[in-house]
Amino acid sequence: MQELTEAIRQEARRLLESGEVDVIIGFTQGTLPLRAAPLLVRKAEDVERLIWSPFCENNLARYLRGLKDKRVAVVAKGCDSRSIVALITEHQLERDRIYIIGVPCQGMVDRRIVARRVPGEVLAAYQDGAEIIVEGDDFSIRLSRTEVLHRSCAMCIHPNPVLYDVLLAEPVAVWAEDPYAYVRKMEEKSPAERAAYFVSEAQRCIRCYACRQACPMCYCEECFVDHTTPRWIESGITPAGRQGWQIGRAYHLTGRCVDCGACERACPMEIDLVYLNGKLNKDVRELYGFETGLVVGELPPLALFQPDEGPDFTR
Amino acid sequence: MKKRISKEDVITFLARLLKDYTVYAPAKVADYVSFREVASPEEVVWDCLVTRQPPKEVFFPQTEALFRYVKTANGLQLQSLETVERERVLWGVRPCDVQATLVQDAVFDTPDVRDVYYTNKRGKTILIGIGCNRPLSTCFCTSVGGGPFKKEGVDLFLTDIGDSYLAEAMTDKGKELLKGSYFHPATRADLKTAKTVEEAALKRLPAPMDLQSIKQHLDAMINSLFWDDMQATCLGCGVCTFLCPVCHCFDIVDEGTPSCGQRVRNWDTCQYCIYTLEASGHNPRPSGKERTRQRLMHKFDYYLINQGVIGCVGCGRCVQLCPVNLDIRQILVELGEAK
Repeated sequence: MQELTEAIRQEARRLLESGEVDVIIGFTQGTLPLRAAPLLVRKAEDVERLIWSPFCENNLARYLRGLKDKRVAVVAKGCDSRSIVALITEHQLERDRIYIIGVPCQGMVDRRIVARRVPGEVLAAYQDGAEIIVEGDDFSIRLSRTEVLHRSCAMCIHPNPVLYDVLLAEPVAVWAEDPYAYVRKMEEKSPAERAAYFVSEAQRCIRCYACRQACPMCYCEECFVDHTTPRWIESGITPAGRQGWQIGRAYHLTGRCVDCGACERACPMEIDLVYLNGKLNKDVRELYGFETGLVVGELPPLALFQPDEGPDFTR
Repeated sequence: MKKRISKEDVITFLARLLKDYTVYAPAKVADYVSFREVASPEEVVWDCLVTRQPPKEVFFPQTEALFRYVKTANGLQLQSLETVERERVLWGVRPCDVQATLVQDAVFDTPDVRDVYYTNKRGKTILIGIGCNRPLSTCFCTSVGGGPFKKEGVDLFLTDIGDSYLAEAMTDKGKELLKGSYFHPATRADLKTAKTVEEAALKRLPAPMDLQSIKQHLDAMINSLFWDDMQATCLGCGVCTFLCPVCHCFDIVDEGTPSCGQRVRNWDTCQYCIYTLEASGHNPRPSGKERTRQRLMHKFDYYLINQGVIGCVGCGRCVQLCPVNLDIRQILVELGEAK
């Protein structure tokens, strides 16, 4: 970790001092244990604030569109890089304006899983090899990092950046076998059980739209929920309003989501969002053989029409 | 008036209240704890200091139908939907959330404006507060005029003194509750224990910030470059405001058809781009810079001018739950150093 932190700082300093980029997007130490915070660095003297840790949970590709008139370097895990590919493919970013600092990722730690594994408030947390040491007022506990990963990280099959200008470490070995293991578990349930689960998860939604705002692919100038003429769904936190939002959000990401899990991590109500997008991603992969964000220019199936495609185009 | 009640009896006390009142208390929701209606004392989580959602929905629901309208042959008929069938108890509310309720009172119940929806629910609710023996690392109530054992605003205040609670009535309603047979006179030792507990709690909190100087600073900062940098990573979601016990902005919409429907009040937030979007298409707060500035200015400057209080109670929910760890405590410190 310390080596990667150093490597990121060194590369960031080089890029800023040479004037190659105007701004670096990376992570800095969070103000809370188990947290890192996104950071924009514009001056070479500030690169010491950049870090790499098992807590760099945000998808930084989310900030790129907002810096359109700048030359930007971005620290990118596998998922961030896939979002960048998807954004370039959707003509939202220009490749030559973005400098991708690739960082092979070992999966990020889910602060909520950790909090549930310890007997009190977490006051400090740091990595020690393959373990995370978590400390509180009267406890110090070692947890295996692989056991406390975010669900999307535990199932990730693209931990290495797929597009980069520099790769700061050797690629890591892929640990997950089935990226859709969780979706398959859901599929085994009866339709009634699945519906009940969806309703009970959606029922906690407060429509703060943190899921939308954290997602690099949710970039509409006007989101369908903010549209008032006509109003597509009920405005409040009624069951219909909540479910309408959850379904609409997931559908709009069909074939565009990279399974990064940023939506779920941002959700203050801990709503299970990954299985919804996971199901759509699985369908797109099985029906069209397409995975989002692997090849620049390869359009998501629902954005593509081929004149010669037959009525059985899904086969 | 101070009495003591054993931890076993407090369960009986709560069970008794449940017979007469609708009780809202910290209780498990999925994997976290939030305020919600409880049906039995067993559902109550006793050791949660900062619930995921504040109790503000008890008085000010996120979505509230104000009235229903139907167009009939005899004209438009309006029907009020505001009823409180049973009086309510807000159980186990912490001093910061009580302080926030007092701030909301100053918004919804003033000599000029009296919001019937809020005041109806508020007037029919008994507040039973509880002190915070071990404030969290994200708590900063003493910085904003509060304290882990501040009793102002509750009817009855409980202090955990080990195997019992010290119970103090702050209003006539509270005194009435203390008449229950499970309350016994507090001993001098009880009072001493309570004092020790309070002192230990205060020691866990950070040194208070100088909010008066922050206010003066803010007055001169409307055009500061500080806001550009400070909000660079803000996502523009509604987490900090929706989960804030003080924030109270709302939007009113009519839902239905011209012949029937209802007028609905929903929470709104200054962090959304459409919050200030005008019908003309003009937006006076067009970017995150203006919107995050508004949040800070409102809480730490305008509130002091308009209501004489700070619009933050130091509960730390926004600190804990911001998806990008934008920490209001850190922002206030940096603000003090900014130009």
